[in-house]
Amino acid sequence: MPRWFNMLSLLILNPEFAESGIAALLKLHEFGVRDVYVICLHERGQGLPALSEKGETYSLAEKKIWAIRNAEKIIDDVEKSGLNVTGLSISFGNAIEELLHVAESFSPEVIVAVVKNVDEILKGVYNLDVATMIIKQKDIGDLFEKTIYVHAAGCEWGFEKFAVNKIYGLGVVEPTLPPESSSRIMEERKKVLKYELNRIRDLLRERNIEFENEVVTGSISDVAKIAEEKEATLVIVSRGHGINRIGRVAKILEKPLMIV
Amino acid sequence: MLNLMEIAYWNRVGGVVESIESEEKTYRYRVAPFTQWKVIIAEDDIDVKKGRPVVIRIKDIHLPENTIIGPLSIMRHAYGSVVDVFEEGIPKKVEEKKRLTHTIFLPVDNGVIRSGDLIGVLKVFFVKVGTISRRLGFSAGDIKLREEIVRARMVYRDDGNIYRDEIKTKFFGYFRSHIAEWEPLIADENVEIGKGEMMRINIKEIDLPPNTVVTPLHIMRHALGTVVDVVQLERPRKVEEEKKVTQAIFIASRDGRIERGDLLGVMNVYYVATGDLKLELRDKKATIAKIAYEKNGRMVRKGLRLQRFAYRRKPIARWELLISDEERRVSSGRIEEIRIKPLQIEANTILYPLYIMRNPFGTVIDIIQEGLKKVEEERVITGALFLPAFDGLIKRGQLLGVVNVYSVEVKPHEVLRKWFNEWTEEMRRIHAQVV
Repeated sequence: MPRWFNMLSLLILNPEFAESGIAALLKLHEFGVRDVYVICLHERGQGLPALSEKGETYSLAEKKIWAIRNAEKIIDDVEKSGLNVTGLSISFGNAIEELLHVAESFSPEVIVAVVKNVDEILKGVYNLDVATMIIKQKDIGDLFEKTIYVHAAGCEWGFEKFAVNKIYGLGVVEPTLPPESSSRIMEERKKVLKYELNRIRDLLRERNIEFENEVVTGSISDVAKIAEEKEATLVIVSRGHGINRIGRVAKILEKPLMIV
Repeated sequence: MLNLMEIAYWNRVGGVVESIESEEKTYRYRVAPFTQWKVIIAEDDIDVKKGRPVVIRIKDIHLPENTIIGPLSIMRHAYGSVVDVFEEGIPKKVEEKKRLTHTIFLPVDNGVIRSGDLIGVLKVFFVKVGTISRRLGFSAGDIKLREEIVRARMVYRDDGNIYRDEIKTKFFGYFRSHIAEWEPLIADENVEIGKGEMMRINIKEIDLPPNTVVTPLHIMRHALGTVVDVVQLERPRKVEEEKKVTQAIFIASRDGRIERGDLLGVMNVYYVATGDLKLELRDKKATIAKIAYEKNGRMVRKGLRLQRFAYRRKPIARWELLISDEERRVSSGRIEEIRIKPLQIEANTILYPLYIMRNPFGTVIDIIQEGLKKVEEERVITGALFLPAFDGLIKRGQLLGVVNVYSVEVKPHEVLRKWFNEWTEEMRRIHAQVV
């Protein structure tokens, strides 16, 4: 397995999901992730501002002390796992703004977002062009054991940093109208996808990574169904599919999703 | 008619001085009861010479919108103190994000600052400036808590030895009580000092209880100069630990003699709550000090019994502009008393420096008032003690710096206990609920 030199990761999480975020980072540690910048998201704190001076101090103290304690615990847990925490942000309700600030300032190479609101995070990370893992569940299992990669024609594949042993490559061609041109266009698209997937296969072969692949006709949402059938542990999707199609996958997929 | 002033700045530090015109205006703001620290870490190795301010490149500090910064006293590096910081280009508004890249460091000894040395600590205040929003309290979402966790080297002295310890910085901030007291800095030795000279002067020892932070109280209190910082002769302690301050760094703007018992300056001691709620209050007694001030062109001394007072700060404050009222050529390291457009300061207010250099040639390290006046009295500010870091020409009408003016409620020291108890009980209750 290749190790990439000391990658900086950005961990975004609601504190109650800290466990799966740290577990994902530990898996990524094997690929060279060592430094972590943590963003803790809180939904509390969006209420009306206090009108009295005492009310302001005490309501702020209640929220901030709680948030700082949580963050300190997460930092301790991340450090105990052998990773190096390089920074912390505590964000009350404005996840995207904080995410963009940290990404611009520190240029992470991988983002791990353990969040409830997938749509919001997706909007934030989509244009960043940084490999982003979105996790919704507490138990992530053996993350890279069975990986599915969903390719988009003409796009860089970009998952090589996280490729191990065996990957299943998938091309999805969605039917178009009217039927006559649809079948011709679909056939062309299938050919292009198959050609590109085979090229990826050949390149990965040099690294002894098995890349079985197929092109299917259907909806992008079918990726979730295929992932279930294949018992995938991680689905990697190319950014080339566009934010709306990725959003459709993210909404129904129960497994961790990585956007590259 | 609009009154305009000139704001001069470096297009890049040490590059070309450019300027813009801006309206002379007083701004009001609300300050949050939560404050953060930012450590200042040197980026380059640099030789420093006692008393000669140097510009040091630092690891970039990113400040979120709606923040202002000021100094956290107690010298953090064995060779001196940070007296101000730079951002490149046109000074940004408070409402904008800022990137700090350099600092002015005032060395108290000859030595070498190494890349990675922690050379100072900044206090970051969260503020609201809007006419309506400043009347409302802060909610948690208004305070963007961002902290880089970095390795740095703490450099300190103890009986002439210099130590360098590696630390990992993790400072998330603290809750201010707005409750404070004043500590007089009283000379404990006789010293001859010349204009522009800087000395570490032994002072009557001050014990600071745990969970206190120290900041300078502006307005020159000695006719010969001002205290730039205070010194703790041991490994720097954390805010939540007890500290002993034994020396003051004094910079002279005139030649003369400092005598044992002279009041050199005053520092504000604020009570704060960090993770560790070991809050403790100590009784203070009145002390005797000599006030050295100028009268009819001569320095005179007057013995005074300094009663102990406590005060409580209001959350609404304002900025006042310090605008030069004369043209003056300045040279690096040569401190100057510069006449400014007079400022009327009302009774029951204190002044605290606003960091980020507002003049390309140097920074205001203290201000000068007309006559001897107490905090409880109205005052007129007539001059600025300006420490140049570059040679240059300061023009009449040019901005020299900005000060924060805080309204305070001053009470005899005994009242402090009541305020303190109210606040600590509430903080402990909250702490017990959330931890």
